[in-house]
Amino acid sequence: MYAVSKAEKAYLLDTIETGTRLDGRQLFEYRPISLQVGVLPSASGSSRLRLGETEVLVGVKVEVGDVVESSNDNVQLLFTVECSGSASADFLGREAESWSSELQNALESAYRAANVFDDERLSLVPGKFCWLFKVDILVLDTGGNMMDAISMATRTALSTTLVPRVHIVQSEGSFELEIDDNPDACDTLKVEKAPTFLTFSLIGNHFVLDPSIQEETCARGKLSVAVDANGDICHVYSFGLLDAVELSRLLTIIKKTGKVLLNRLDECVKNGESS
Amino acid sequence: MDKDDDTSIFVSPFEQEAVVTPSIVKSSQFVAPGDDILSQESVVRGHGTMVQGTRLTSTVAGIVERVNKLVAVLPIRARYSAEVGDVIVGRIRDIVSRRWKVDVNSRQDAVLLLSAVNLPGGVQRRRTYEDELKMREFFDQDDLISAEVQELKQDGLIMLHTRSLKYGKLENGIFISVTPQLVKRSKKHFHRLSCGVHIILGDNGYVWIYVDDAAYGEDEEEANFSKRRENDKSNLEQRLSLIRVRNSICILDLYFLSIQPETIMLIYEETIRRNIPVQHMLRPDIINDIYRTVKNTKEM
Repeated sequence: MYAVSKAEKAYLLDTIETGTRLDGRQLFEYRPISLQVGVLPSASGSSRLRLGETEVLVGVKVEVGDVVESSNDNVQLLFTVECSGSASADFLGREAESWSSELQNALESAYRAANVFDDERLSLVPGKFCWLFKVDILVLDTGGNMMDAISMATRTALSTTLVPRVHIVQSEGSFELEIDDNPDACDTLKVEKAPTFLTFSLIGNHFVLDPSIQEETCARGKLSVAVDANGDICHVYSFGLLDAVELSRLLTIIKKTGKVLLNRLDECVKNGESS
Repeated sequence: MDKDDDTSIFVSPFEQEAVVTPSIVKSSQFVAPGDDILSQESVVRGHGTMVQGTRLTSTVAGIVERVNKLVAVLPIRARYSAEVGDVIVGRIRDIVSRRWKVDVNSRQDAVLLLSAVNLPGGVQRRRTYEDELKMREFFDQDDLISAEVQELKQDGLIMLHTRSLKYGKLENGIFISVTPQLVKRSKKHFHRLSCGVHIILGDNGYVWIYVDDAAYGEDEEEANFSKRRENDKSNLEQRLSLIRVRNSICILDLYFLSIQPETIMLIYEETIRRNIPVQHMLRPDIINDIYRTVKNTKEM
């Protein structure tokens, strides 16, 4: 557990009251993000993201699976979050499980609500076969705001994922799937609708974006909002008593920041640079 | 040699040590785990080394240190290993009977005995049962303190004391943790930087950046404490320079540069000269720029 003394907390609260944070950031500013894609050669898509001290590694595996519960989705997403015991003392023992299930559930609900992969090209045999995207997330280091780091890394990993082209052969009422002979015949995924979380901590009477671990420890509330590239909100996750008046003010900030952040991420992946 | 030392403050602390201590071979040899350490026939195996057959190999990444026949490897990055007289910054981890357990970034928690602290009011007497009950009023869990290493026990246990007015609870400031090897042992650990900010560079790599309360005049009493905090709140400029110092230390830590008042101020002044606002100080492109200029000024 990260420890903060009463004196440190008092100084942090007073500083935030003046509109700055202890690392010099403004209230609604992200820490520097560094991003690497294609880090796992054996995965269909992967990324490694560092947000301040927080570091996560995401790998996506693409498989063809049977449709469950007669849904008509082309794609099934399966998230697994693993919190490495060496990342934080919080992850030792049973704590790790509750952390990973919390993060997993948040991602699942956000992606379900956003209906990300509504793409014709991904259609296999409706009601019989569908794509199964297994997203494995590994938390390597914790420095606060895991939710945002994980969702951003997941989104970039999905955006670099290559899905092999598959031909459907119908014979005697049963379907067979044939993978295209050309190994380069792959489709990339459209991720415009894939959401990412923007997390705020409520410290004193102020919301701060992208809280560090110290700020998270001093916070009395938390608000995570999932937005897509258009700035549309698709999921909200909150903890603690939050002020409704403040929230409406945050809304404009969320829409603007979300748009800018996601466009910047996409640009980075396209141009192969990091920021 | 001394002249050389003054101009190049950016040599690693190990190189400096090599200059200071005559018994260490000057041409320090860097080794990685598993590397052979070249040595004569009869050597005494020290820390960080291992004998494999007839070869002597390193078990850590570091610099070979030779004292007469003893060969050891000083690790580049390691937990803090205490020496008597070190000034440290620590965090109270636990309170047990008549002692505080203190986190000092070492292999094990240090111990601060109730009998090793100054009682409020400075009275000298035996510690009573009442004092024991009041221990949380002196230092509570998670509190940051500055202290001195009084004694090292046989099994490596670190005993601390705060029996001086300059040691004790830390308030009104920012804490950061850096690589302990970057803080050099020196006569002075409580510094007042030329920008008016005070720092305590703990030998254990814990750094406390603060505003000195004494600056407000000694006649002010406890009752004025809340008023003083009000004043502080308006004093944004002071807060910003504290944060600038903090970020300067972060930059030094990132580039594995020795952390001393001179180097901190070099970075601090460079960012002021370039008009970099505090919120941009930790951006990778800017850090890189600052580092390059500072590195160049040293070499000139």
